[in-house]
Amino acid sequence: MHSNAVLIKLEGLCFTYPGRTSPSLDHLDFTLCAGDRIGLTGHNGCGKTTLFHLIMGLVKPSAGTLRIFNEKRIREKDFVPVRKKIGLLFQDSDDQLFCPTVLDDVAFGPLNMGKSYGEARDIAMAALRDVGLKDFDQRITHKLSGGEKRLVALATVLSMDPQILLLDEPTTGLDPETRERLMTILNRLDKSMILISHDHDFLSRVTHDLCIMDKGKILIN
Amino acid sequence: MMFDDTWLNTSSFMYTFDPRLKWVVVFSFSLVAAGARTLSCLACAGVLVLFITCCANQSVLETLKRLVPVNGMVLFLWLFLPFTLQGKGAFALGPLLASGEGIHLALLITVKANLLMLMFLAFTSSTPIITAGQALSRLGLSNKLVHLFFFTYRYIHLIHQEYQRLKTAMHIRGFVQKTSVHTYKSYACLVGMVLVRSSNRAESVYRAMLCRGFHGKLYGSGDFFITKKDLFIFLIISAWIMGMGIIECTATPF
Amino acid sequence: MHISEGILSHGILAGTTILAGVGVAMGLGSMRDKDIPAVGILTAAFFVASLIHVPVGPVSAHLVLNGLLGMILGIRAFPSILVALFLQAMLFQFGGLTTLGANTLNMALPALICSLFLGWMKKPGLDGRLFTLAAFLCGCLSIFLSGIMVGLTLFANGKAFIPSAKIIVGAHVPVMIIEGFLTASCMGFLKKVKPELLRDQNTRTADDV
Repeated sequence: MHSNAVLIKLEGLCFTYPGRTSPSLDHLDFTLCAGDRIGLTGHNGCGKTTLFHLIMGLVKPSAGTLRIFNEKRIREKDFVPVRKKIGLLFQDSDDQLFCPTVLDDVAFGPLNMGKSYGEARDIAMAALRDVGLKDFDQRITHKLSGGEKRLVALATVLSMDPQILLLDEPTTGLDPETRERLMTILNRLDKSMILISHDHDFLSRVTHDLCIMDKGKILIN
Repeated sequence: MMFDDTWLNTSSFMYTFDPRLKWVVVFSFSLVAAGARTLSCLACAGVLVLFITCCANQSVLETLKRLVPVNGMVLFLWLFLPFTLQGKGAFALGPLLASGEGIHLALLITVKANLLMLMFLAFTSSTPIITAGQALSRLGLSNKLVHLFFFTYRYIHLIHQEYQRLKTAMHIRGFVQKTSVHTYKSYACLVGMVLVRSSNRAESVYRAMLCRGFHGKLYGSGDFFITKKDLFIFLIISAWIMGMGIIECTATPF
Repeated sequence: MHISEGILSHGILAGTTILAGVGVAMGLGSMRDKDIPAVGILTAAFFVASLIHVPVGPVSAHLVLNGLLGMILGIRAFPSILVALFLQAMLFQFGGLTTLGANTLNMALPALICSLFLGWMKKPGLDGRLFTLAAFLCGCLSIFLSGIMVGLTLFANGKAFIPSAKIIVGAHVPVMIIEGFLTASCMGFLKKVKPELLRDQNTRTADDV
């Protein structure tokens, strides 16, 4: 079906949050190939965010297998390299931005990847330029507007130059102008991505395929 | 917002003064002045504070407002010290006899408390909080402590907003605070909820850090440059503070 | 109760700063870099809680909750309280720079004492009434000890400060009862809603992700 290389292959994935009875994910199968841009939609609490957290290794499945970049990922240390190649944009940008200044925050990822201070700084400045926030480097993170926070958070992800982007409701709470800006940025990027959103117009203009999730399963559309 | 350095004056000389040198000045001044007991030393301290306050060019009204908390405690001590310290009687207030020594001590405390606070105010009005923290880390303060400070400052705003939303929601549902069990119980839940949300937030933040390759190391930040002018002023002020110390050691207490 | 600048003598300032410094160093020592976000964000939460004023008859008192803080953070209460006090000084001019050590010690040591002597209450499966009683004691005792320590600091500063020290200790009594009550209800809330918070700090922040 797909001619491109398979990047992520999930099979029979199950996950239940501790203290809950119904599973968040129930024998879920999913494949992402290079160049895919997949929109993911479904009602609240159907397990979309959980799916992202499983891919990043933030939570571990109770059953099923994750093959990411052609390797089985099971333990915490298997996910360390995964996180360098997959960028996750969190639903709440305040979770993602924790440094005092914007530059510190965007440079945090590159520094973790072993770059020197000078290199990290250049990468961070370039990432800020890419999202159209050229002069924001010395701004104080908590004083940014909601839209600016979202774009800076995107810059923190892009600064690590990931192969795959996972975007968790990126348009929630954005004004039409920032939404438009985000769309332009995403369409310019040559990356595979999965995008969770309830914004069908946005999905149709950024992604090629649409998946619908229900009761912990993906129904391919 | 109430946690922002709203009274920061970015157009003063003090603002451009290297923050590390500023810290050194404030600390060394506070150390010398806190123990001062001689009039001449305090007079020198007063001159320096006046000079630095002028350099910081801060609003007079705001400065006076910010002196209120420290003078609350000072006023409280005035209620006791003149009457509890044994010494020559200065005046009588009904059956209470105020001693000259007591009044001296209270006066000394008043002057010192205000001088120290004015120096600190000149610092806060000219230094953004983040810069103050970065400068401390450059001065060799434990990196962990500085990062702890940054995390706290970063999330205070957010948590305070959450707290206010919760409180508004309580008031909308008819909550009125009084001295009652119901009030205290409601506040306990409010605080509990704030703690729970913060702890959830901490988990999410940690996860987001992991996603960006965090492997247990936090990095320093902030680059500062000392100009010749900074150094020149710094040397003069340091000499002055040293002079204060020498005067304090040689002059007789007042 | 913050002690302001200009009141304490050099000797007291030095002594309290050294003791507080030891506590802070121990607290930082028990903390890995990966624990900093959690401790920092909880510190922020306690900072916000300390801005809450509750009515006490005709006047109002702000919450301290150092007992609860000690119960959750243990020895880490020292750096946490130091950071909170530093911010209070920077933002609102409460306390001051030279008295940071004294004020940190006066609030953090009672927090630590509570966590050492009442830590058993965190054991799961403890009788509900015993838990409430211990939580109440924790809130009371931490404020009481803080009051005593502020009093002792002033007392050590000179005999002339004895009457004011007595008044300050006395003023802590009504606050103590309210804090006890609030701490007990708040811990009850936490036990129901998020018991992990009251679990032992070392097991809680271990590799849980």
